[in-house]
Amino acid sequence: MPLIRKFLKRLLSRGFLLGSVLFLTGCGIIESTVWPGVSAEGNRVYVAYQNQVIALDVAARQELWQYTGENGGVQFYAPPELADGQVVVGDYGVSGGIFAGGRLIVKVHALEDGEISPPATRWIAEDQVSGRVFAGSLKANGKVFVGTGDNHFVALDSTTGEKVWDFRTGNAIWDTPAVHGRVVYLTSLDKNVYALDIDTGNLIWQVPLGGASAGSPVISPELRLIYVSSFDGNLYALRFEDGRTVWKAPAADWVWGSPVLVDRVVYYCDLQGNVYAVSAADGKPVWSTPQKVSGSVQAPVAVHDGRLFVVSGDEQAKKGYITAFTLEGQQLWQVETPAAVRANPVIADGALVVAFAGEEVPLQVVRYNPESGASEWQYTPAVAQ
Amino acid sequence: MWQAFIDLMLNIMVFLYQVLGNNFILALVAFTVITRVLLLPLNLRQQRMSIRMQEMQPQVQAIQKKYKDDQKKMMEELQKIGYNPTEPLLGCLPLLVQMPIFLALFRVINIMLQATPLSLLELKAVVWPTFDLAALFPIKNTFLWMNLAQPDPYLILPILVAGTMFLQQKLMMPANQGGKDKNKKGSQQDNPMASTQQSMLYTMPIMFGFFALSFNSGLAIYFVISNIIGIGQGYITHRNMDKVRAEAEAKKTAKNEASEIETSVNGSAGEGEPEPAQKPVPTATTGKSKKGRSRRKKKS
Repeated sequence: MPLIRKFLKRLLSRGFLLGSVLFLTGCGIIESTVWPGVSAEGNRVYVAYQNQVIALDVAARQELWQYTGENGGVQFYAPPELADGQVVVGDYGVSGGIFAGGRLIVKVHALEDGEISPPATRWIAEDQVSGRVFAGSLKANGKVFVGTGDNHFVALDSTTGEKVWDFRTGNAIWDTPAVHGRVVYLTSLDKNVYALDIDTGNLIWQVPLGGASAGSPVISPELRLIYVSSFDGNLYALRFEDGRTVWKAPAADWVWGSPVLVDRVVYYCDLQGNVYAVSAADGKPVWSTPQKVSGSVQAPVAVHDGRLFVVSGDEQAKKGYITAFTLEGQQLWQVETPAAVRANPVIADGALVVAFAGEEVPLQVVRYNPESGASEWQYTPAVAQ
Repeated sequence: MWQAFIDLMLNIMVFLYQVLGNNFILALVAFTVITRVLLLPLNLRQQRMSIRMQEMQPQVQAIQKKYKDDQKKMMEELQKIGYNPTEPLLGCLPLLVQMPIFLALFRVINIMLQATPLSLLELKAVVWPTFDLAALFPIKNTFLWMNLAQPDPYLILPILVAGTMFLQQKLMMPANQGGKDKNKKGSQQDNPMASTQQSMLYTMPIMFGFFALSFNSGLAIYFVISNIIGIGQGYITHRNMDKVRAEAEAKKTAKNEASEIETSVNGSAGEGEPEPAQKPVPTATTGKSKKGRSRRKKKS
C-alpha cells in the first residue's frame, strides 16, 4: 500500500509539472496580430494573411496563385507590393528556435507575378532585415524599401535582394514609405517623419510630431506638401524642403490610416469613426461637419468614380462596416460584415474589394458593387498546408 | 471576468508607467513589489508552515514507524504533535494565487510591448480615458541590451531566473536540509517531504529557466524581481523562526530546570513515577536539546 501511495504521489507531482510545462508553453502560441495586407493592380488583388499570399483576378473571379513561403510555417501580413511583374512582400518572421534566444528569421520575398501557382521566386532576402514586417514595401529607383518592426528602414537591391543601406529609426515602421524625386519619406511610431536620400539613406530632415504615426505619407508635388496622420489626433501638412509644418487639421481621436488626396482635397478618418475632408492647400474643412460611420476607422479610405469608401469595425460587437459617401459627404449606402474591417479597401476592375478576418471568421475577400454595395463575389481561400 | 482582470492589470501598469517617468522597468518593479506585498501574509504563512512541517518530520517518522500497523493510533499521535497531513498541500496556495497574476501579466506585457497593430487597438480600447495614451505610446520596450517584448538573446535572464529561484527555494528549506545532511540519501528515503522539496529545489528552477528561454524579457524580469523579493522574505522568515525557536528553547530549558529544582526540593516523592509525556517542540537545532537532556541526566 505505501508503495502504491508513493507511486501515485510521484505520478501526481510529475503530472502537475508536465501540465504546467504544457500550460505555460501554450502561452506562447502565436495568434494573428495583424489584419490582412491588401494591394491591387488592374484586375488583380493581392492578399497577405497568416501563412499565405494570394493573387486573385477579381474580373475573372478566380484565384491565380498562392504562395506559402519556401517551406511553409511563415506568416505574412504586409500588403504585397507589385512593380514590373514582381510582387515583393516581407514576412512576419519565424523564431530561430528556443536556443536562438529572441532571434527572428525574417525574409523578404520577391515573386514572379504570373499565372502559375505557386509563383516562381525571383529572390528571397534572408538576414537582410531582422524585425517583423507589417509595412508594405515600395519599389523605386532600382531599390525595394522595407520598414520593419524592429526600427529599421532598409533599402534592398530590387534585382538581387542584397542590402544597399539601412537607416535606424527610434521605433517601429508600420506603413509603406513614399518617394518623390531623390527623396524617400517615411513615418515611424517614434513620433517622427523622416526624409532620406534615396541613394545613400542619409538623413535630409527629421520632424517630430505630437504622436506616433502609423500611416503612409502622401505627397502633393503640386503643392509641395507631404501629408501625414498622427496619433495625437491631427493631420499634418509638411513642407517638402525642410519638413516644417504648414498646417495641421484636428480630429476627435487618433488618426491612424494614411490620408488620401483627391483633387486638392485630403480625406482622413479617426478612431471614433469620424470622416473628414479638408483642403489640401490650407487644411480648412471642405465639409461643413465631419461624417460619422459605425465602429472605429483605422484604414485609409478608397476613392473611385466620385465615391468615397470607408471601412470600419467594432471588435467587441464582432462586426465590420463598409460605408460609401459622395465626395460631398453624403452617405450612399452601408453594409455590414461579420468581422471588423481593418485592411485598406482597394479598387480593382472598377469594383470595391475588401478583405477581412476575425477570431471566428476565416479570411474573406469580397467584391462589392460600388454603386449599391451589393456583394458580387466572395472568396475564401482553402487552408494552405 | 478574466478579461476584466487583464484590463484592470493593464490599467495599473499604464498608470505605473505614467507616474514612473515612462519607464517600463520601473513600472514592472513597482508592480512586482505591490503584488508581493499583497501576497505577503499568504507567503509568510506558507513559508513558516513549510519550515515547521519539515522540522516535525523526524517526530512524524518516528510515530509512523512506531504505529505502522495501527493507522488510527498513528493519526491520533500525529494530531497530538500538531501535524496536519493536508497542510503541505496548502503550501501550493501562494503559487496558485500567483498563477492568474502571472498569466494575466504575460498577456499585459504582450499587449503593452508587443506593439503589433491589433494589440495597440486592443490597448486603446481598454485603457481608461484618464490616461493620455497618445502621449505614452509607444511604450519604451528596450532595457540595457534587451528588447522587453522578446526573449533575452544572450540567455542571461533565463540563468538569473533559474539562479534566483534556486536560492528562493533553498531558503524555503530548514537549515538542516539542502545538502548539509550527512546521511542525505537515507534521510530523504525516510522523509518523503524532504525528498519532494529536494527534487523541487532543482526541478523548479530548471523548469522556469527553460520557460524563460521563450518568455519575453519583460516577464523574465518580473520573475527575477519576484524571486529576489522572495529571497529577502525567506531570509527574514528564517531569522524570525530562529529567534522564535531560540526563545521557545530557552523557555523550555528554564521550565525543565525549575521543575527539576522543585523535584529535588520535594525529596524523592517523585521517584519511580513515570516522566510526564513531553510534547515535542519542533526544532532544527537538535544538538541543543541533546545538551539539555544530558544536563538533566547529570543533575539527576
